[in-house]
Amino acid sequence: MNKINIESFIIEAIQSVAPEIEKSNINRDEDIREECDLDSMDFINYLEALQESTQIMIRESDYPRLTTLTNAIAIIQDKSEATQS
Amino acid sequence: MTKSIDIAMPSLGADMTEGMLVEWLIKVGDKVKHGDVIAVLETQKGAIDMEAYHDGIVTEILVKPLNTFPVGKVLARLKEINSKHNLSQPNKTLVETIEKTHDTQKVKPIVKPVNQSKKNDIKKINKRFSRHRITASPIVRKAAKAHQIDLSIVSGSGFNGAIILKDITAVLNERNFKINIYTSDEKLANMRKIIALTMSESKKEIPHFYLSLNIPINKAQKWLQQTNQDKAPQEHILLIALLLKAVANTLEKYPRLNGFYRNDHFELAKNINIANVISLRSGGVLVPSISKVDQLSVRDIMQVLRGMTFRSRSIDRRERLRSSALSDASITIANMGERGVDRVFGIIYPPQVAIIGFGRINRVPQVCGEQINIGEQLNVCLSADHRVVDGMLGAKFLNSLAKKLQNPEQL
Repeated sequence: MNKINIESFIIEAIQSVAPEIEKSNINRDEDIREECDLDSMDFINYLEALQESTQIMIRESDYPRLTTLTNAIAIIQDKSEATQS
Repeated sequence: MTKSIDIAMPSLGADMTEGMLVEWLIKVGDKVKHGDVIAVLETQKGAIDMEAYHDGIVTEILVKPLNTFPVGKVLARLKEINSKHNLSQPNKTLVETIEKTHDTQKVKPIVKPVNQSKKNDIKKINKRFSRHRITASPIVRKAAKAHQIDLSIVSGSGFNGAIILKDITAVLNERNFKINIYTSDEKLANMRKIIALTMSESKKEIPHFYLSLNIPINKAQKWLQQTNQDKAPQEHILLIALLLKAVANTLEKYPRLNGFYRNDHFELAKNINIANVISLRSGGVLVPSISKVDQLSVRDIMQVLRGMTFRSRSIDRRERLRSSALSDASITIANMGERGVDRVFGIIYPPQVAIIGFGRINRVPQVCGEQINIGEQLNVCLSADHRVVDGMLGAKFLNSLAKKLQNPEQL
């Protein structure tokens, strides 16, 4: 998975709970929950969608890093590389 | 003698007068079980999965899809399943007519299951909330993107349900056929109308009184933290699930808050079915309910809630709520804490007699013996119908709820 792939998986996962959100609406370093008006239930559903599309295991300890687009891309990439090696 | 059971247009709330049958998911001769999804309805509240309320074999399908019927109109008939003799002969002519109607009008099944499978595989659709993985080739994905088709709503006819190009073409054809009788704007306007009607009726008829209590939830939060540690998102439990369970258990002790006021008298509800106010992103609210909450585990409640929220908020993407989720609530909960308000004074949804509002979690100084610690508390507000209960009972209820939340592991 490259960065562009990961980014589109993240955007799709956000759109699965907030269909009206476009990529351009998201400030990469702001908290997605505030940017996209996600409550905690939406956030859990977003994480599950992301886990399903990337096939990368997400655990509770990862949540804080999955709240901004920049960090989320980094953590999924790290995890994906770790799985491959 | 075998009992014949009518399947009628359900009433999904006191405000619903009619509904459109969009699609049958059963045919004559099919076996259905209580809770199976048998048809898709289009109502003012959006598309709804209609469930069977009895076990039986479908003996008659009396009406055709894409027609609107008043609440109570008999749409089909079942025969009770236990009798071994006299199995029904499918009424071929009727089935054919209906299938033909489908053909000529090019009505495609809106979701994947049932209609496409030859077998009566209704169980699949009944699986608890689960999102399917989409299998599609890059070409298909590209085509879908170009035509702005959401692949999650396309039924794949390829190997293992994979979406192939033909399926995309079918969706494009289908777009010419407008299956929703209400546009999103109309739905929203209808929803506003419904909210206006029921809330005005409530404020006119029901003498509300309000009691509120700040409940320490340090222990509940700690329990959640431990339970969620290192869990995957699909296993994550939110406070609201715990609150629902605590409310259900407390209602067992105070059943007078769980019921209906109709025709000048109160009747206890048979089950504890708790409705949960879900605000929609486009405005408006839906109030689906969870049945028999007292009999579910906290984990189960969380699972149902998650699915319910997802479905409610994605109605335009053809995820649908179940008919039972909109019809039989005995009490309602409104959780506004995450929206940054301290307390919620709810308006009772008639004919129910109480609504419970949860505010936000605040960090506060708490006196423990001779020490002051930082603790967390939640404001819970009970609005109740004074025709049915008095303040004393309401106060007891809130304090009992607070007590239950001090032992989250026992919920």
